Amino acid sequence: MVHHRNSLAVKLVFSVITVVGAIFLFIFGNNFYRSREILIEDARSNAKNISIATVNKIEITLSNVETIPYTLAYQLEHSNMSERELLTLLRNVTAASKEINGVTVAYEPNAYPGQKSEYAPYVYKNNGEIKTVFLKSPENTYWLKDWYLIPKERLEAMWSEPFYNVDFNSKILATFSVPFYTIRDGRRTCAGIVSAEIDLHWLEQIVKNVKLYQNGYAFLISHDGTFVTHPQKDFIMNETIFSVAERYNDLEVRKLGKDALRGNSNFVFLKQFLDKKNIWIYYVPLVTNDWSLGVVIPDKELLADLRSLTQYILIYNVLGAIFLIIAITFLAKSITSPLTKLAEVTDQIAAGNFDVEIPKLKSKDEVSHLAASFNFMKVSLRQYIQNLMETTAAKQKMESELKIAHEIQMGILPKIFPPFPEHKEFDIYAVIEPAKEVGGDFYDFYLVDNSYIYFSIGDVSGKGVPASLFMAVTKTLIKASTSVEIPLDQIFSKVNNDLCKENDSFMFVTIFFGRINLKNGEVDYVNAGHNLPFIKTRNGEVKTIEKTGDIAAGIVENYPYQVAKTIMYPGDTLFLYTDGITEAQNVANELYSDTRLKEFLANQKDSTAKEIVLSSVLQVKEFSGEAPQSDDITSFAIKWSKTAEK
Amino acid sequence: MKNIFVFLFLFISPTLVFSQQSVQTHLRFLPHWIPQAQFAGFIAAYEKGIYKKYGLDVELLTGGPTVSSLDWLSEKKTDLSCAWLSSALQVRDKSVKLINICQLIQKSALMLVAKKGRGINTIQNLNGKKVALWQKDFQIQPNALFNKFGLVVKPYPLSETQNIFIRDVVDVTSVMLYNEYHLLKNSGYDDSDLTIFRFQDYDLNFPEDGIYVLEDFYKQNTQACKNFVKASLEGWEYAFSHEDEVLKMVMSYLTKAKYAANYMHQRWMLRQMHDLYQTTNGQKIGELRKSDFENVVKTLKQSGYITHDILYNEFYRSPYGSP
Repeated sequence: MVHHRNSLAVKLVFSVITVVGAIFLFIFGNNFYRSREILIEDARSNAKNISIATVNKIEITLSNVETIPYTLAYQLEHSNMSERELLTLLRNVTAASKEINGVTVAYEPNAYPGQKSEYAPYVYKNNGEIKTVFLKSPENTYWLKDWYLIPKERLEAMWSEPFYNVDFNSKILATFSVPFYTIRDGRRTCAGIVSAEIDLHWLEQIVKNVKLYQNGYAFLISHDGTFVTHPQKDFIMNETIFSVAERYNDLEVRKLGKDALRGNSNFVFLKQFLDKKNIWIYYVPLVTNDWSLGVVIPDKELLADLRSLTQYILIYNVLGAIFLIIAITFLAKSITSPLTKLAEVTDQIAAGNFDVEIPKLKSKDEVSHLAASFNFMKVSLRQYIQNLMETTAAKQKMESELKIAHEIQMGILPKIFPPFPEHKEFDIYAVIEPAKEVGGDFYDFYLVDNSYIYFSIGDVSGKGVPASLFMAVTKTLIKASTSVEIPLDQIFSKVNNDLCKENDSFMFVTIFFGRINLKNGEVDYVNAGHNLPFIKTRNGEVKTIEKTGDIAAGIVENYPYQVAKTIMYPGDTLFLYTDGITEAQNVANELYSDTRLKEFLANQKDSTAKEIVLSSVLQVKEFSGEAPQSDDITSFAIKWSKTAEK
Repeated sequence: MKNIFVFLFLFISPTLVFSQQSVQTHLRFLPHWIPQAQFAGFIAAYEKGIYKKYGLDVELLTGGPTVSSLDWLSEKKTDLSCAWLSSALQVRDKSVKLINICQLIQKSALMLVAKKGRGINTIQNLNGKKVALWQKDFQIQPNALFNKFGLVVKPYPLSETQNIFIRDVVDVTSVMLYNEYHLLKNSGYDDSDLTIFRFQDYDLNFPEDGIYVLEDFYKQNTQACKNFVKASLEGWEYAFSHEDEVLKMVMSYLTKAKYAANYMHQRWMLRQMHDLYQTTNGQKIGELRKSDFENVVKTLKQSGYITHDILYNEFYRSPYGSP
């Protein structure tokens, strides 16, 4: 079966999900980043608008308050009021103004016309009543107070830092102080300070009303960084933006504080603000009194919508991915299940079962096409295999017949060595190494009158059964025609004529036929186109014998074959062979050749016929190596020792 | 033998209980400024029952800008007061027989601070500059310094805030290291913005906070006074080693007295007090160095703040025995 990890469905799901996932992540990430930028920009402009609106609201009130001391200062400079008139004016002004908590007109020591060295009436509201007190040292050395001293020295109006009015009530107050002048010794000199005092309670209310997102809030810091309003009550008047920075060891907050108090405006991100959340903060200056308003937006809330949207998108995408996986799996299954069935059927067909049914598919797609082709293939295959089986059976039958023919052929060759154990004057050995197909090589020898050993070696043209039969006929004809009285040429002519008759298939055979006179070593022979044998002399020389130039037998009737003679000396060996030896090829298609054969024979010292024959075949085989043997190899040796005379 | 132990136990234990519970000497103590970490040791001794342990029933009076601790001492509105050495010497010079029974701050915490941005980097740069000075005794060292270097400055009165400095009316201001200096930092000034002049660097070291008592009272209540000093020093030790716990006490004192209460500021103050209390030359905490004393007397006399010679042995009683 198909391993699960390698199944088509798994591969499809994996690759589709990977590609779709990558595309989604890219789009999603890009979208998230862009949306975040837009949201931050929105938050920035929101914070900016709300800050500016709040600052405007505050500054309108502050400006209203500012007009009172300005007007009073003008009046003090330009009219001569009696003390009574002054106090009445102050009471009226205080009572009339919604915003202010009290008014002070503080003269420079010894500057008030008349007897007093210190003169500073302070008119203020107390539980709906208008009260008047006179500020006096040492309890209230007013000319050393910031609200007095700083505008006097700077010769300009000024909003004080917020302060607790510990003396009268515990409100957080701030004053706006305006210097007024008199002409002394011809010079315009500061005669004192008019200041209006406001309760900062309303400020807290305005700032508290700033609502941004869920938990966004605003705060106000004074000119020296003190918190004037803050949702965390204990910050007010106790902490400065810098002490908070110190407490939380946050240099970014300190930096922000310094920038804000320089009158700058910015929208910045602060990590772990006050040890807790990441926030965005917008700060903007109050131009009137050099304070600064900060608007804080928790980062989490700013991006809350985006986060929830992101979550939804993620959930939808996970669901989509699951749906996609199911769809792909289904699709893959619809493709693979017929394939799996086909595979099973194929396994059965491979096992030889051609009767299995190829599943029929309803769909008309590539897979059903494949199934149809498969069915066709099955039928063709069955037919083919049937043919093959028949052919194989026929071939096997033929092969077995051929084998029998071959065995018969080999059976007619003399195969018992030594064939004539009583004749020590000669030593004879022969072997045929047949090629795969039935060949037409043969050899033969027989003793006549105990004085002649007749021998023949031949090679029929062609291969197979006809060659084998032709060889058997030739061998039998030669032996049957042999007689000591009849000369060799006559014997051979008769054999040739018999072979030529009814030789419809035009076969021919090369034959070397001869006899050795065991008494004197005379050799007469007829050679019908066969390889000439070699004589290896007792001295180790390799001699060739005389050619006759006659043609192969079975071709021309009444061909005049001639007898040639040579002589062997005791110890000489006659070596006969077929072209299976000299034309044996190695893998490089080189022939074994006459030269190699002669060398081989030259190297045989006092070898017996058997040794020469067997080692000649062995050497040819070694030479051929892996190359297939294409022809019969026949090796035949006769060694004459002339021991018969003894 | 057993009976003897039982007898001893019955005899000793009631007397121990008696001595701890019944002889509670009532003492009033007035710090010379508002309740802040400058007095953390006294608050700790009170809150942690250290005074009680020493058989004292201490009443911690609330000081502040409108209360002069030495005036109250002279007027016997308090039994013991905290005050600067230079202030106490001037009162003694006016024949009020007060004595120092413990010198807490060894080094001047008073210092001058200038804006580097106004080109003030050396003492000479102060010449002709506007300098904010507190009243009275806070001017002794600055004036002595200006005389010493022949500087002519334009003095401005300094109130409880540093706004005159922050708002650029003056170039130089007076601060206490443990208090206003840190407030300036918490108004956005960095150390690198400021040039600091410390008086001990100009041989004008005035030991500051010390514990004072009238000589007559001391004679009548010697042991109680000594116990008060011991208990207070123990309170300080506790405050330095239990910073957070004691700072929370200080914060609640400040809030109760309706002053701005800032933890980080009070912590800074307490840590500075620890440094300022450290003595040199093998002296113990709470001892007044004779050379410091004589230097202050010399400076006060030269500047005309005092006219009589005041002797170290007559003025000072060491908390650890005869000086």
